[in-house]
Parts: sequence; structure tokens; C-alpha cells
Amino acid sequence: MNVLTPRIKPTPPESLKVNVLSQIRKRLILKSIKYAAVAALLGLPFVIQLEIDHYTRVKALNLFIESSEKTKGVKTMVMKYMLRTRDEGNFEEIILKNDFVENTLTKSFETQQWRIEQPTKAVLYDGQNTFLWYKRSDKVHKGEGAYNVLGELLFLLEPECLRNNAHKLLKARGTKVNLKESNDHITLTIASKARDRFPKNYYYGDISIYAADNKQIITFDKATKLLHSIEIYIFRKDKYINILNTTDIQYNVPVDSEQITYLPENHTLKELYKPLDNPELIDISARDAVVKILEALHKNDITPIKDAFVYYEEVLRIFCPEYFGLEVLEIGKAYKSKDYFGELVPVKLKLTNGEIKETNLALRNDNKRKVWILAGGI
Amino acid sequence: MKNIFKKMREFERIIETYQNSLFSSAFFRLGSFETAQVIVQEVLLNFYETMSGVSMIDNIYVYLIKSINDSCADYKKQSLKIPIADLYDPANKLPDAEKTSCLSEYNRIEEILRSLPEVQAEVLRLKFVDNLNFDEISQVLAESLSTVKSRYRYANIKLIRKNFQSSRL
Repeated sequence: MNVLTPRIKPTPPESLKVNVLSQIRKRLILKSIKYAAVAALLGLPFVIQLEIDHYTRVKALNLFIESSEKTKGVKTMVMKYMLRTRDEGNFEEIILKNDFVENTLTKSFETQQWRIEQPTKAVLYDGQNTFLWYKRSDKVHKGEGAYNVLGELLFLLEPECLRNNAHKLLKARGTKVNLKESNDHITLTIASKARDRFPKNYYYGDISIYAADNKQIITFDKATKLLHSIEIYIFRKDKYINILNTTDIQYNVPVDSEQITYLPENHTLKELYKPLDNPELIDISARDAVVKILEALHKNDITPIKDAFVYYEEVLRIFCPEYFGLEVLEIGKAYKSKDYFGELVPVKLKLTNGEIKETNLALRNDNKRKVWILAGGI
Repeated sequence: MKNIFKKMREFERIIETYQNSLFSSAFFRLGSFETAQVIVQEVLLNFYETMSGVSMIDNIYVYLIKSINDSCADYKKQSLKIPIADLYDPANKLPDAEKTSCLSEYNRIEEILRSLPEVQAEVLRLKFVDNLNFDEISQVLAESLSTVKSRYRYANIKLIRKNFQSSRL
């Protein structure tokens, strides 16, 4: 017998159903009064518009469901997309002021292997582990299992996730949906209001799609119902800024496993799951850990607290050498955000190139020995 | 009005079909009968509001379990405030014997799951408490199928290493 299957399950009290139905009746009465008042004020056209809007949403959601089902039959996908981001950041980062960076995503749905390639870095999943390679280094980071490297852009890698996103957007208050059909395509434009409230200057990127008013133009192939293209815009200072758009999506093209899992010869592996045990970073506060991290960067000697830089050593050396030798101007109080499981510490730094940098350093210690490591904010 | 009555009848049928599973699901996440009841009620009320599109939801059970899972997680993070006084009737309690057995069963399962990271424990709860398959679990967690399988595999390995394999998963 399975040890985790409950041997006994509780019976719900009779009051559960009664309570729910009585609440609904109360709501219905209130709603009827409200609708009657609104209809009296605005007249029939308003009611008609509500009905049209509802019909479009249902049709849109059905389209996502159908597309998700069709995607299950796809064997490979090669997608090219442009994203406003930066070389030294994660693959999910969106930096509004930056230029577009070309990404090529290759996926085999049969082997579950995938690769995302940018000009300066690549990340891949070989079916067992995830590898991250900064092309100017011979070191390759290896993580156990499949990492979600795309965050809220995961739908690019897992098109069936579009359905979940769409479901949330379509039922959200304030979302506007427009559906257009041509001979070959069905195009949905979904404009929605900011949903999450990430703090400004949150450690990854400078914006989350859902933390801003946004517009997504999603086009499906009319015959196959597969995703044909997607464009995402963020509303900032009275205009929509395009942050992501696909330029080409091909399905069921031959994809070579070696092409997906390619890593340079003679690379050295840096295993991210190796236990961390630096005593300098244990049993101290997040703020104290930041003090040590910045001190190490100031002295240009990170060796004594190397564990703190397990994710960041290569990024700093390749893309941000100006952090080595920095001056600390201010370190604020550590705080927690409901959107991040670690802690955030605001800092003001003077980098060696003269730039004054204000940021929130993200720290986490969710490892076995509770060692603080730098996880973002650079 | 005819539509409203039809919707209410359909909704009653849904409550009757799923209330046992949903209550059990919430209870084995929280270990509290009262909070489980309030959360199930809230989830069902919210579901009613989206019911005009019930035909668009391809698997109502998965949808409801996802809502329970999310609400319980929010409740644990204390970001979900629930109006217990409005929705819970303390006069309507479970018999003490049943309550004791269920609580001891909750503690037994939690004791096993405590040794795992929460993301892995979550996958096991969805599989064994809610009887979902991997595809359904990936929908509930909005994670890829490979991530879910990988979490399950690592949880399995950890539990076996910790000698919980007297009866294998």
C-alpha cells in the first residue's frame, strides 16, 4: 500500500454546501439590483457590449485550449525571437531601455531536450541536467534536473503554458480582447492591466510583464492551430513598448540531439548542486552577508567567500569587471518581498568605471547549510 | 432567469461531485478542518463566478484542485485573509473520532513529506492525496511535464534513501 495515500479522508460538513449556496443567493440578489440600476442609466447597448465581450473571451479561451491540444502532437520546434535584455542577465530578463537580443530556441518534445542560444551565452537541458555556458569562458555551469530559465516567458519553451497564462489574463478584470480572422491566421490581441506588484528595480530585469499594463498579440495558424507568432508590449509613459517578438517558428523540422547538447570541447564543469559550506556565510544576517560580499569585491579577492559567488563569478568576470574594486556608498536594511523567497538588500555603489549604481542585491540561503549566496541584483 | 436556475442546478451538481475530494485536499495541506472548510467554500464561490465559461474548462477537477492548492499556499504565506466568521459554522463539527483519525493521518503523511523540499512535497501531495496524473500535476503547478517528473523522481530517491521504502511509492 502506498505510504503517502491517506488511509482515511475527512467527510465535509453538511454546512459546506449550504453556506456556499446561501452566499451565492445573496450575491445574485445584489448583482440583479446593480445591473438593473446600470441598465436603466446606460440602456441596452451596454448590455449588448457585455455579451459580445463575453463571447470573444470564450472563443479566445477555446482557441488556446485547442492550440494546447494540437501542440501535444508536435515533435520538434525551432523558434527565433527578439527580446530586450542584456548579455550578463538571465534568459528571462527584460530591460526596456536595451536593444533587442536575438534568441534561438530549439526543442525536441520527444526527448524533452532543449537549447536557448544568445550571441554571448547558451543554456540547454540534455534530458537530465541543465547547462549554462557563457561563451567567453570555458567554464560551464551544471545544475541538476530541468531549470526554469525563462520564468514568466516559459510559454516560449512550453507552448501549452500559453493556455494557463491566457486563462489568468482573460478572467482578469480590465482585460480587453480582440479577435481577428484572416484566411490563414487567427489573431488575438489581449490588453490587460498590471496584475502583480513587483517592487521597482526588482532584482531581475527592470520589469515583469504582468507588473505593467501590457498587450500581447498572439497569432495562431488557422489550419493547424499552432502558435504562429507572438508580440508582447509593455505600457510605459503613455505608449506601448515592444519587448518581445517572435520572428520565425518552425515545427517538426529535423533537430539533431548533438546540436541541442553541444558544449565546447575542453570545457570545465562547475556543478551548482555541490554542497556549499563556507563558514563565513553561515549564521549571519543577509545584510551582514552583503557587507562581506561587497568587501570581497572592493578588495578584488572573492576567494575567502567563494560560495557566495557560486552563480555570479563568471558573470562578474566576463560582463561586469567594473564591480571589482568598487566603493560602497550605502547599504540599507534587508527586507523580504512576497515575490521572492530570499532577502533583498538595497545598496548604493560606486563602480570602478565611475558609475553610481543603486540596486537591490538578492540573497538566498535555501541550501542545506543555510549559506548565503548572491542570487541577483548585479 | 432561466439561465441562472440552470447554472445553479449545474453548480449544485458540481459541489456534490467534488466536495469530498476538495475538502480532503485542503485538509491534507493545512491540517485544520475549519480552515479547510472555509477555503473550499471560497474556491467554490470563486468557481461559480467563472462558471459562465464552465464549458471552457476542460477538466473541472484539475481546475478546482489548482485553486485549492493556490489558496492553501496563499493561506500558509498568510497573504490570504479568510472571513472565517462569515463562512464557518462551528456548530457543524465532525465527530471527534473521525477528527482524531484524520489528524493523526495528516501528521503521519506530513512527517514523511517534511524531509523533502516543498516543491517536491507538493508534487507528491497532488499525486497521492489528489490522485492526479503527471500531466494534470503539470497543469496545476504551471510547470513543464519534465520538471514535474524530475521533482517526483528526486523526491522518490530521497524518500527511499531515508528508509521510507518499507512500502514503496
